[in-house]
Amino acid sequence: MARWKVSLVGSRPWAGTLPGVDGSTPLAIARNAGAALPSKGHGDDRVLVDQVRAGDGAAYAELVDRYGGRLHAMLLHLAGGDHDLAAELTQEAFVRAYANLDQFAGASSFYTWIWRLARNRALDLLARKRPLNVELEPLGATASDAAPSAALEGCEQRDAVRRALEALPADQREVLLLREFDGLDYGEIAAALAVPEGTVKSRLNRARAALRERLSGVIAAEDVT
Amino acid sequence: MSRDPVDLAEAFLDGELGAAEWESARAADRERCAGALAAARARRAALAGLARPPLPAAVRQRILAATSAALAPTQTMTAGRPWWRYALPMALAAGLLLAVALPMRSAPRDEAQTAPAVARRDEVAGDGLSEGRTSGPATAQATSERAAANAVMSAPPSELAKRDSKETEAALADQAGTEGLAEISALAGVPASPASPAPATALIPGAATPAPSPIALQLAWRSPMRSRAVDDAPRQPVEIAGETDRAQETAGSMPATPGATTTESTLSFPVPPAVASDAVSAGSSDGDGDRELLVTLLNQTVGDLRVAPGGIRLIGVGGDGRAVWRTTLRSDSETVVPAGRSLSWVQPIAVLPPGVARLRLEVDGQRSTDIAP
Repeated sequence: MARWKVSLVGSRPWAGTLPGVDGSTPLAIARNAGAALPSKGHGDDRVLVDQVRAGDGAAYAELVDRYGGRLHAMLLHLAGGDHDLAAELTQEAFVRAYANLDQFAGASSFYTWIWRLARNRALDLLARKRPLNVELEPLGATASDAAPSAALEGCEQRDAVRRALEALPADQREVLLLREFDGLDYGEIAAALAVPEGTVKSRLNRARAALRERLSGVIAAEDVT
Repeated sequence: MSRDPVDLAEAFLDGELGAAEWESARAADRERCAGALAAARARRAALAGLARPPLPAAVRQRILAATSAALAPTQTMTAGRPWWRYALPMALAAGLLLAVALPMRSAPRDEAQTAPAVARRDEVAGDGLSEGRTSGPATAQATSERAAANAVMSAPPSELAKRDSKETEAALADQAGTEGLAEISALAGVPASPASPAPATALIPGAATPAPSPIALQLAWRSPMRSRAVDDAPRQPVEIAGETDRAQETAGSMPATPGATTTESTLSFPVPPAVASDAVSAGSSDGDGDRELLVTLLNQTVGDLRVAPGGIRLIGVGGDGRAVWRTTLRSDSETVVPAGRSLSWVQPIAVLPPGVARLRLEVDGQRSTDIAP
């Protein structure tokens, strides 16, 4: 059975040589993942929202630019890689947010607020989708196992991770993505989902256990720091 | 050590387990703890390394177009345009609509009104789908639908107000057998029966005969607007209220060959005052106040119409004619409309961008006429 080997480097617990988007370098991954973290404070969001309320359309464009890619990427993975659906959900979330800007109190970041708007529609659509019959296929040994290219490994591994994610229940997939992919802490996730932190932790534990089981033969760590 | 090394490793990476505690656990079972920590890190790296595609430029553009258009009315009104910029187009539109409406008022509508208009429906068990078959006079019903829809669409607001409300009510109640509908706002590609009066396109001066369409699309708002537009007659109970995906399928004796069909023109139509007032609030509708569209696909071909998931799209068109919003309907499964049948379902619209001036349905390249939001 083919196994991927991951060398872990860097100070961030999740930064590594795992090829990211289009064979990203470790540095690119770290930068990429870091970009998911909130770069500006809640107060800055509030200022922008106030400007939008005052009629400044450019301020809303700034909010779209600041959070659009992040929201779209999250929705893409939540939707199981359906690009069209992710694009529609992103668009709808921003339009809905615009129409309901008066309800943004500024207690949380704009991102967690808009996620709350987006997730209900997303989960509703996902619940009505046909159940995914996703099974991890055994990875048979091939001739290329002896010297597999890094790109192929990364591609296959990403595919395996994606399929393992899709097999998770939507609520577990959501919390796992918010935590590991989006970099939110427990408090932010609880705010985004409007649930207690304890619920977040229990969902996360279940999601991790399921993912661990599904990826047990796929990802193997080589270097322990 | 009481806890599983895997749990300890996750807690350590989450920062919920201190370094001292972790070292203590690792001293007790170094190999398992080290392996668990490495595996946990690898899984997190794999998740963090998932693709992060940027927001597509088209999506960004649509968002900004939809939201910036919401500011447009204020900016436009304060700009102080000359009065003739509004009056002239309105006068031209009113003249054109009068030219269309007057011949229609004199056109016979007997066939449609004498036919039993309400389709018989046979409820079937299942996932909310209800199926019905229209008995004999379905073609007359189709005629009635088109006549009524044209009457509503082509008449100017003042004409609508003058019209006998009960007559309008009766015409509207005939439409597709869906009592309680606000109004049929648009029809496209509706088949013409042999008994039908002259097609609506013949009433439009200079209108070319459109190509026959194998798919007919209907869009209608399902909302309380009708009670304000025509308020005399008692309301019928809404049969297809409630569940979001409850669909209704009706079969009619539509012409089997495309050659026997005609397509109504896609002329623009005036928006009754009641509709216009609703359109103002549509943009701020939230999840609790979802509006609902009745979407109908009519298959006029001899074979089943199969639309792949994602093939049915609702397009929002801005004031400048560009698409500013779109959403996919019934994206979770293939939509099948058997030959000679129609499929209707109620589609909740959670949010409608303020910049949308018209809505249209697109199915495999076919378009419905536009309706007002």
